[in-house]
Amino acid sequence: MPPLTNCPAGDKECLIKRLTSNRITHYDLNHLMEIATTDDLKSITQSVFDMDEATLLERSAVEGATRWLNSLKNDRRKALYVKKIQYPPSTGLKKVVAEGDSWFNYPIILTDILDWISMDKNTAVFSLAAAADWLVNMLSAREYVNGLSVHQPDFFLMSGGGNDVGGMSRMALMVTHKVNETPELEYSAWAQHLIKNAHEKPYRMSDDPSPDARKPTEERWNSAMGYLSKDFFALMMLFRLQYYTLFYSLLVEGKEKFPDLKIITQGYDFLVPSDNKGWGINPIKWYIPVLRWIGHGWWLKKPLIFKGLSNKELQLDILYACMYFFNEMMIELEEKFIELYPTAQDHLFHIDSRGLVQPNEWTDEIHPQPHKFRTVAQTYLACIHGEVPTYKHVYRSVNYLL
Amino acid sequence: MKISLLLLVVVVSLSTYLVVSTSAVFEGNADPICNFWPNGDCLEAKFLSLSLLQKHQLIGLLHLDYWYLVFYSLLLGMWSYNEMQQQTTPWTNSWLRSCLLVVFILALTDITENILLGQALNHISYPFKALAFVTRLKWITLTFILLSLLISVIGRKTGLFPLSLRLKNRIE
Repeated sequence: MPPLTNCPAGDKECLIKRLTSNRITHYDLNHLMEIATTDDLKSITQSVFDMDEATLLERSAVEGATRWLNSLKNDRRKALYVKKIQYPPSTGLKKVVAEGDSWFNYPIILTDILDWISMDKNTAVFSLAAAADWLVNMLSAREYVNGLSVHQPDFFLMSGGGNDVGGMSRMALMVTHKVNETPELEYSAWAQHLIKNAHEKPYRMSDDPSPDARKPTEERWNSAMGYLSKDFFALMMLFRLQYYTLFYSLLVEGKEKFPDLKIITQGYDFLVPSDNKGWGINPIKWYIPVLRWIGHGWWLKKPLIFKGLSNKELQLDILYACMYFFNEMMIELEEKFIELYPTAQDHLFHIDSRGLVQPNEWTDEIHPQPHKFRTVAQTYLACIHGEVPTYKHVYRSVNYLL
Repeated sequence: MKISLLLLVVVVSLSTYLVVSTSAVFEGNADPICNFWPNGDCLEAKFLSLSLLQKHQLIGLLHLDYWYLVFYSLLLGMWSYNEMQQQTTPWTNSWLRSCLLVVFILALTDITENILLGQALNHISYPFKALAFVTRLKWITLTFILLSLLISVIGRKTGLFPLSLRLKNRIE
């Protein structure tokens, strides 16, 4: 029986230290999640990212041409939003405020998730999303607070975390250069709980194409597990704390201010490390080699090569395990949150996109092609328009393939 | 006024200007086919028929042309982008995305045409075959873009495409 706690009662410093070294017990993690203040989160962020907050925010800030391109798309969306609010359809209008990264705002060329959602005449989208934005940046800037107060939306859509992993070659920190004799997973009771959860609570729907889809593929899982570093688990736990704080501030503290607000979180698919230039003969896919000039290869593949992990299959397996964890972390966190605060039931949802995008359907390492963004958008629309979820609060994108 | 309508007015005006200015290059031309689907020989014949004064006037106009070429392509690009972002089916969305590439090719073609014409007028070289090729390419790309935009606007407004209508019905 593992110990319930390893830290003296009330010793937050000890809890934080144990979290950042991936030696925290499941009980302590849940305890820390409930007692952590904004300052504590800053302190954990500094430890996990290994830099002070000012430097981190400076480096993760979206500036220059990217900022301008982001604003072009958001301005167009705002104009459409105003139009829909002014002339709502007779069938009713759902208002949405969205904060997120390039899955929500890919400048100019790709039609991203929010673009597809905006095409639904019954949904008005106010977007604060910005390509290349980090979760840590979104939560510290708190732009969404003003957005939610001003617009009083029905839904708040949130997509964050991808750049915290892939930005600044940070993927290299998520892995070790050689296989760990004892995988870091063994030290994390919480991570083991996630996997157990996935095995014990499979998605079960009569029309589900694969009822066992929630279980990890053993071969890929085992291949990757020895390479995940303690920094990866620490980052996942930090995400858990950050998202918890977000949910708490909006659904519990902000209950009076936003009584009907529903939050939908975004899960990424299994990203594909690659440095292939994407040249081909299909003129319709002309944008792939063009967009692969931007960052492609540097987000995932090269950082893994820096760590000496050059085997292509191993690279894919590592990203499989990472994205598997991210989604399971979100699903488990939301379950836990609903358990702690039952009023959050039917106010918190997750979009699970795992397994949706096939290997040849990626624009680059981290962005699907537009038709796959569309399927994810349809999943969001299903949630927004009240369709029955796949599993409790989870909507699976593969169920919305046409 | 809707931005798409404004863009339509500007693009139609500029297209007219393009046609008129191309015709002016070969003033006195009796064979209209040569204006829009030229070959090297007919271009050379037209060029030789230009007076020195006409050549000087055209050189003056070339500098002005670069401004409108950039502006014109940008507007077409914006229109294609706006249209792309309103297409609810993956294939029409991809088609309009391809239009963005074609707009880029059109801009390059237009600029190349101007450069080649400038070389001929300044007696640097006489690339009539190349000039004929880029002129043809210009008309092909422009026609492709305008037709694509027209069809997609009609399709979007009327549910011309069954797939688009099915999706609309499904959402509704």
